[in-house]
Amino acid sequence: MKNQMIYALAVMFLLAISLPAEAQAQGKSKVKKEQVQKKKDKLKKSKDEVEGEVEEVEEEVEEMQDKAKGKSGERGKSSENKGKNKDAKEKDGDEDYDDDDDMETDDEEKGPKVKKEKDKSNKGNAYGKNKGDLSGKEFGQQRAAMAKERLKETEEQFQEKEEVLVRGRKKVEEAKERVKKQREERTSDEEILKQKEEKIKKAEEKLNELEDTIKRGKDRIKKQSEAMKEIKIPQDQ
Amino acid sequence: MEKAIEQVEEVEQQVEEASEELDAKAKEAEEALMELDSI
Repeated sequence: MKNQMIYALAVMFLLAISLPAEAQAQGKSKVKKEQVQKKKDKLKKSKDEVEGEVEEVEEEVEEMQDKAKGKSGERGKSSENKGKNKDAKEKDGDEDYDDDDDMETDDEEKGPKVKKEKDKSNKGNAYGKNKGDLSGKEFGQQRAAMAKERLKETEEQFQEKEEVLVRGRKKVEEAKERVKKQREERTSDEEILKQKEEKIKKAEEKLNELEDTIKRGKDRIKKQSEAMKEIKIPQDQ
Repeated sequence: MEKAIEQVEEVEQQVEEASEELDAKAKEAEEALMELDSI
């Protein structure tokens, strides 16, 4: 009986010693578990956040792609319109500015890459290719009318330059007179007078070149004017 | 019709070249004449 009591006490003592340690250990592991759980939660949260951000970015990319597709569709339409505008421009040269403005706006919207592509595609004229809604006959008539108009403008340009030539010759003569007077009156050094004469000589040479260009150019324009008359474009009855 | 349009284009090109050459020469002459103002 006594032994049993001793045994029971010993057991109780051992239990009393071991329980707090176990509880402490359990407490420690619980804290650790909580910390691990917190870390897990934190990681999960940040993972969710990252996934959310990725989804947002993907949505933005999709939107941009849709927009780009939409714009390329619009561009297709606008290039068709440009074709029509070109036709309209050929009908009426005064609409040049409007067309250019549109192009600038389009360039701003499309960005440099698109502009580069467009520049590439704009090399050379598209005469005879982009007829739009015009029939071959109408297109030919329009082109011929434009060429005649350009001929007329160039003839006027030659007349203007002939006036420049006449005024220039007069100016040269006046400068020569001034230099002659300065030499006679000895109001300038001979060195300076020679420099002035050099300038006059150069101006005379340039005027001679201009005169030559005017002569040759007028002949050329005359020939082209005659060639235009020879071109057979079907006319409306 | 295509041939006619080609001929028209040729005329335009010739006219354009003559016009450009004239402009260039006139510009040179006008610059040289400006120098005479200081004489």
